[in-house]
Amino acid sequence: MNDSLLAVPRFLDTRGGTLRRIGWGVMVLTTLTILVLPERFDLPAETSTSQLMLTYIAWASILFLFSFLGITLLVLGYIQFFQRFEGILLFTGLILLGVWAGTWTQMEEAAWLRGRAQLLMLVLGVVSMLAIAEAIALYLIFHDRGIRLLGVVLMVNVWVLFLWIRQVGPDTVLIETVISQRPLLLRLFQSSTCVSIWITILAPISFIGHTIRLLHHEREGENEPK
Amino acid sequence: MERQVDISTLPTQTEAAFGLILFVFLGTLVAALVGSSPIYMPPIVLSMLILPARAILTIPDRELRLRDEPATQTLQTNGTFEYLQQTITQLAAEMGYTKPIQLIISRNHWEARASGSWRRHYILLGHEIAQKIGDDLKNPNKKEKAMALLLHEIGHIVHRDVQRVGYTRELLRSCATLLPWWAIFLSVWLGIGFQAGEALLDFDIKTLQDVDPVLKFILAPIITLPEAERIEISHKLQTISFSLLTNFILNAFLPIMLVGFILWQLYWRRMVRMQEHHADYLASRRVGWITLAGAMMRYSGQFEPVSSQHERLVPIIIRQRLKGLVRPLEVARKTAALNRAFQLQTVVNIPLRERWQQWRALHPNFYARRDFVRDPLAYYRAWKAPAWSAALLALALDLTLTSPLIGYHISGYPVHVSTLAILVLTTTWWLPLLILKEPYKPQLRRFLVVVFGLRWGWLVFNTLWLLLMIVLLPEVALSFLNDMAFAGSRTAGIPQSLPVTDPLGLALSVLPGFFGLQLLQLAIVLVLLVIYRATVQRLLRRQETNWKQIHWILVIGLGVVAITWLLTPASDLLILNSGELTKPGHLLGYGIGGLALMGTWLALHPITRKPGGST
Repeated sequence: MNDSLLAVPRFLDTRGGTLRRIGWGVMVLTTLTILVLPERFDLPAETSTSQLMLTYIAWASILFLFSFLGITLLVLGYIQFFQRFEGILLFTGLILLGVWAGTWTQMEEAAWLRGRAQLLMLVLGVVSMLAIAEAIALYLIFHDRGIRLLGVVLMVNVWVLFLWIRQVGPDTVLIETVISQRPLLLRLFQSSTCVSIWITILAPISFIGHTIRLLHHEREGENEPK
Repeated sequence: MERQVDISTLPTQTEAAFGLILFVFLGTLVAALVGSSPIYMPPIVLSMLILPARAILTIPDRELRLRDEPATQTLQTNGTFEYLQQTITQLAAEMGYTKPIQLIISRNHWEARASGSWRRHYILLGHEIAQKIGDDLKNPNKKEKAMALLLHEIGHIVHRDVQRVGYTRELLRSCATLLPWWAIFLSVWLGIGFQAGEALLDFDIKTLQDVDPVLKFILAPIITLPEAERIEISHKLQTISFSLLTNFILNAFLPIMLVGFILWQLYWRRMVRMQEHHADYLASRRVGWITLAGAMMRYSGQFEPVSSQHERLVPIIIRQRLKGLVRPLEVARKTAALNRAFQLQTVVNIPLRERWQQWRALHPNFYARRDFVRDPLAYYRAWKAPAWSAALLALALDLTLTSPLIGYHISGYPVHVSTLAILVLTTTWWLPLLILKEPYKPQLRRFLVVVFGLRWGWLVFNTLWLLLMIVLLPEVALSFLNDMAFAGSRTAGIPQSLPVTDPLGLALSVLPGFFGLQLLQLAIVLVLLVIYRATVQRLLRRQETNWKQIHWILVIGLGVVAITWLLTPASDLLILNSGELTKPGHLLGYGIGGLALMGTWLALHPITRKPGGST
């Protein structure tokens, strides 16, 4: 049963297949670029470190942008799925994979494969950090559950923090929170933190938006079933 | 000539309860915003004000979303939908209700109920019942019964049950769900603050080992606290007591949470049941009570409580299927019960189990429904149910006021709201008997005995419990009274001294004044009832008909005058605080009392001059 508040726009219904095909195409092509990366980053004599860094950043940006574009197209293509809570869970899982990949230091016998797989998962993790905002936003557009989600997220976070402090002491928590012994980037990937942050940002917006919609309907005295 | 009265023109107990619950709960929330408070109240108050009202706004969208599209199309194709819609509009117009009421075909095939929000009104019919009513409306033998069912649902909309009863449910439910959330969240959050506050002040990123200097350089300006903030945090940590903060949260929220939960679970259901009676009455006025009784038998499933819209669809379907399996048995049981209920006997032995189940039931049983539509005034003549419900509501509302959120403002005046509540609930029950000039003295006496008996019983129980605690467990009593005093003063600063050092002395000095005030309250209620009766009798002689308006003007006017002119100064004198008598706030109160008296007189005067119809 679809208990969404709003109907899916006709455009997404009719063009869903096209969006899905383009989305998968962009994702596959973007992923394949990983294969063209050199196995080693030995500097040629005429190349400076900054040049190499710029090249690397440019490539990562392109990879990131196209991945994000591909995921956005897929989210819109599979909108019937992503207006449900499962959409949020999918990206949460991807972020977790990214975090896991970041700490992946075994499998020395397949270093070449490991490096690329790790890179792919990392990129997917980073992209999922933004894509999860899309999934949460879609969910909150189609379901008026912003306040409930916010309530759960705030309560869970406050208890986690409280119990963490009780467990290891406030000094350790502060140090871990500000400067973790783990790499900063990976720590930011923490799926729960990421989901919490996006829900904290998007839930009040959704609540206000739905309230305006409800007030508008009420003002109109809407009596014709849509 | 026998005098008759149309009870739909009279104030109802549900209206009275709705007004009082709204006044006390919303008043408490607004009072929480005024004056000092150890915690920041606006988010809590705003959420409590906004979310219940918003919950009502979401109902129409949910109903529309969950309607049965295929069934709607089927009924539209065979013309039943249009026919039903036209009948609903026509019947509503006959009842004087001109706002549009929209028919929705719901997924629960056998339900019939009214729904909507503040300005959107719907009647929901399941596919099967819609078709059955459509067919019955075309059959001259069954038309009236089908109309009775529709009139009953329209009656709910005419009485604004969705708004009043629905909003009361949301408000009380918020007290039992939202406030506990805030209480737990704030307590844990403050716990974090107090645990980590010192560590936060001592934290210096520059002193950390094994951290990249570049990272230190980048993060230092972000995480280093500004000096002013550091001083503020340090000051709060040194001057605020965490235990007094949690003590305040507990004392402030617990009475509202408990009373809200109890009223939601028990009293709100009574409000729903009362409105069922009034919807029945409105329908019986058009088709007669015998036809209505016939409709209850023909559509027995629809006159019973249906699944709430908050329940999920899947359980409803599963329940329907299970019900279908045992339907033959169920139908036989129900038919037997209905046959018993609608036998034209005056006295029926209602099974004890069924009576007990009524405490939690959302709909009255068929016996009660039959009795009400046959003789609505019998409910008023029988004083027990209104008296006990009034006594419990008045006491519950008084308990809400023990919260420091409002106790901070009215600590010296613990009888004002209960006086108003007793006056409102007693007169709402009493008015029909006065209008019909029925004998009322024994019932009124018993009504007041129940109301004041329960109240005084509760006060005496608490007093004895307190005195026993003081005598047997002096340390506990000292701690308890000091906790109450700190919470009541809305402070959480580390105290220099205890406000209560001699519990027994304090109790003995306060209790005589307190019980004197209770006696004064009884006297004032009796005086107000005498004035109320005299005014009603005077208006009766003038053939007045607009009793609902007269009642509310009179009760509110008398209540305000009694509170400002009698109870407030008397409270000051009884607690030996005569200095309060001339304070600006009190002088303003006397002025408001004067205005209320003048306004009541002016409002009732033109009404008495109106050309009135027969009563």
